[in-house]
Amino acid sequence: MKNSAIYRIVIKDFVVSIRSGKFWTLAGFVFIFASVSLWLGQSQYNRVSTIKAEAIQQARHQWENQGEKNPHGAGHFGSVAFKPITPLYMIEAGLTDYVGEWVYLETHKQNSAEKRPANDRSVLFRFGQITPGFLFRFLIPLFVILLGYSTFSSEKEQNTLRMLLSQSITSKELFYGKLLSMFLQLAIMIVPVFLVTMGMFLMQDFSPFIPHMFILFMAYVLYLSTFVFIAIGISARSRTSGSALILLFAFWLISTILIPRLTVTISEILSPPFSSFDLKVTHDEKQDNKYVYGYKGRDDFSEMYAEIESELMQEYGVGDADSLEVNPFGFAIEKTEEEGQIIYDKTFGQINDLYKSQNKLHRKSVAFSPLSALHFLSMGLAHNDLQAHEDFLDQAEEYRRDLMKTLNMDIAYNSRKGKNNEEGNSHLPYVQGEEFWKSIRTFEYDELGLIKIISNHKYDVISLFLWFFASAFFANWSVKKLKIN
Amino acid sequence: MIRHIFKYEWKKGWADRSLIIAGFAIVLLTGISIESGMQWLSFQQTTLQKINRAEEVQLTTILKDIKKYESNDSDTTFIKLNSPQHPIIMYASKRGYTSKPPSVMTGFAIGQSDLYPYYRLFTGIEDQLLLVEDEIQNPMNLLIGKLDLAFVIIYVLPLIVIALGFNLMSGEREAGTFKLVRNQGIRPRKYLLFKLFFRFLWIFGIFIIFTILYTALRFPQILNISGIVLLAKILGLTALYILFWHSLVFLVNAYGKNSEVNGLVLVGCWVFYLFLLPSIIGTMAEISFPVPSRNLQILEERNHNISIDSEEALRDYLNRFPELVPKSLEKDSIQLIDWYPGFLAMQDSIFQLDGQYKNQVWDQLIGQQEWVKKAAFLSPAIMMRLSLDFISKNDLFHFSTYQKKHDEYIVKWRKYLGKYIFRQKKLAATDLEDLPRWSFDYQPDSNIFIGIYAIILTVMSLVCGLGANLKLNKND
Repeated sequence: MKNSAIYRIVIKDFVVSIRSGKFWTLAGFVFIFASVSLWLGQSQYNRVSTIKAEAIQQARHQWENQGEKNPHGAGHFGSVAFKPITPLYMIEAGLTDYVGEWVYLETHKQNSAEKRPANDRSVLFRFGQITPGFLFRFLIPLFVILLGYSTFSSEKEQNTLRMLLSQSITSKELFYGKLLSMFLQLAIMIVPVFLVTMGMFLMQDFSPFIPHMFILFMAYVLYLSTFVFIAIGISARSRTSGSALILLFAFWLISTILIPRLTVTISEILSPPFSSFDLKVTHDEKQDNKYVYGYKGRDDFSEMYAEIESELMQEYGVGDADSLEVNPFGFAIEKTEEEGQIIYDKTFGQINDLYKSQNKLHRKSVAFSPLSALHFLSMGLAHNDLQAHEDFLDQAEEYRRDLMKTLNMDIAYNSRKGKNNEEGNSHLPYVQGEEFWKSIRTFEYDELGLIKIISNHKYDVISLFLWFFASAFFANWSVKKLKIN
Repeated sequence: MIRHIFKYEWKKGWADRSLIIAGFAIVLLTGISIESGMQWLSFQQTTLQKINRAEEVQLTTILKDIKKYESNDSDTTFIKLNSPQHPIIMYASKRGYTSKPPSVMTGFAIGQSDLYPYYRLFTGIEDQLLLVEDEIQNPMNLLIGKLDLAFVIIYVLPLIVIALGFNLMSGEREAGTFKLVRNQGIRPRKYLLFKLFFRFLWIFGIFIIFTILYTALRFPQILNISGIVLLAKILGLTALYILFWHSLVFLVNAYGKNSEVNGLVLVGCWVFYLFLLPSIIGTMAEISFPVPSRNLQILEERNHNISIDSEEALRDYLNRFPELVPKSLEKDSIQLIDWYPGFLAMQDSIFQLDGQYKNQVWDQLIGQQEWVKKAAFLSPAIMMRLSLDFISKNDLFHFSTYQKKHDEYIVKWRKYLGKYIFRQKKLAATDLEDLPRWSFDYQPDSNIFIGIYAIILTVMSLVCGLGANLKLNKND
């Protein structure tokens, strides 16, 4: 083994590299940046997750202690659903800052998620953030380029390639030797970061997310390996180190910065956005001001109430409304909820359709940018991609509908029993208290499972593998075609 | 000599295609970015036009309905709950609109305009009537950011400067042509300077000519007098920014290292100025001026909602607006339900709390912005970003001004309609015609900081140039 050509090339290249200030400068930078970003990420995670936990608890406390009131009044008071964050937030912040943090759940209305944290961040926030994700996606690929651009070109410039090949070393051995040396250098840079992060996860009982993190690191390895192969391939094809560096840097710039931005521009041309004002107008048209009292409102509610009342009288076999055991108001208000839900589904469906059609192009951009594939996958694993957000909104809305149904049915079946019975048709005198509020389940967001995440991002995973194999093929082919001038 | 160097550089750049590729990249990206920016500008303008139209239609309809009621109504003291003359109904359902019209420079620098709302709808009881509070923006697109001209200026042009200049001297040394140049008695300092000057003219020339021509042909409406002045400011700053990067290239080349080292150092500077320094300064600004949590804000407001007492709220409200204290009722007063004033006061109390929260957030954000403004001299990229955002009026300062004016306006609006509830009076058509109207004009801005940044950029360029000069003189 020790005498094999590959081993000797690895050792020679590795020793030359680690003796240079360049390697240790870059490795040191990675370590310091990773440590600082992990520390910042951890404190940010602790801060945000503590606030969220406190908010969830407070929201529940408010619900349970809202005092005695009519269940429909409680529906107006409503509740608030907060989207929790996962520990992978400290590595990949994803869309967390660009989507609302909470949804107000109330009767009659489906609300959007409100308050984007990005609106409360510094203007420089959009230059990029100090996170391990930023380091792995943008900076380490650049460092790989800086370490690998001269792998073959410098041998050509110093005329040592001719000597190497004349010593009966095959191009295959040369390729594997150089490749392993590069991987060794890369490993020295990233394995400590991986081990420190794993240690943090184990120590802080983040064990449910260790598989996510492991997959994320595997994705980073695939992504960075792609850059290793491309650096080797271009270095082998280039006449000088300078031209190799420029080409590689151009590739980095185009794939990591320009393609994603161009995709945004093209996606907005192909699927033009609409304003929230437009959305409001179409929503109002669909809603036709139903059940809105006041100026320009229609009093459809009274007609519907009368219909429901007569149906119930038939069902219960009573001739007069006051003899009904159930309260038609509960059924009528539930019907308005159900009708409203159909309209809201269409309205919010419009937004989802817009995002989906724009994101289709983002998905296609992975063919031109390995960064996009990695970014989508890492956001998915960190539970802060668009699918996770939509899943949260869906669950919150399901809870809202369930909650409102519980309240409305309580009015329907219980408001005419007991002491409040004497007030006739009105539901208003009927009140519920703490015991009832407590009996209603709390909203708990159930995060997407790992299999579902991988299935959502299967094209990103496939794309990362395709980039890996295509770049490996390119590197191998370039080395085979090495020319000595 | 300069003519010869320029001719040689042109021939060389043409032969190796570097000038053509750079020129093509500038033209392509500048064109796409202006289109992208103008698309966003046009989207905002169209939306605001629709809002203004909707407001006109709403007001005309209400006035028509009121006039109909006025002509048919003989009983001046009775009012139906669905009457447009009912003050509480108008208070709760009449929509008000405020907006921040985009500056035409939004087409060149989008700034923060994709994040902050540039219009708001409200009624007396709700401060935001839209289904989605902020403008509908794909979060993925927000995260990545739009490709506007500011992006091309700040990120791409320096890279083109680096790509064309990293091996200015080292390339000639490595190719062995530098000796020939020296043998002709040309001093390296002058030679390097003229070569750089040629590249500066090429890059900036293509950029400025294409930007002006493209804008003039595609978007002539932008180029009115104020548009021309603002565009001139952007182009002037861009000239200084590109000059800085050329000076840096001059300095790095002057140290006489090989092309590889020059490339590494320059790319390192680019990453440092455009990624690392902004992230570090941004993080420090956020640590120095933490913004209160929005999660807790909603809960605090809900707590206030539970604990609020209508009588107490009414007392506070009337203390704030003593002119609304009901005097003896006039002859034509209508019978309104007792709890309306209390309801109004309670709503106002919630708005006040919300306003306090918003002010806290804006104060902290402005604190961050001021902090960043002071630290910006460390990075030319940050200075450019702050300046371009300010020129296009899409920075935090302009959005916070809009928010403040919006808050002041709705207080005035609510008070105007609230007066009819307290005095128990029907609304006449003339009353609604006098309802305060929204207007938003950009006040002349104090943009001294842009001048200071321009001076700093010039000084930075001079320092780099001087450093290069000293080094080259020593080598001579």
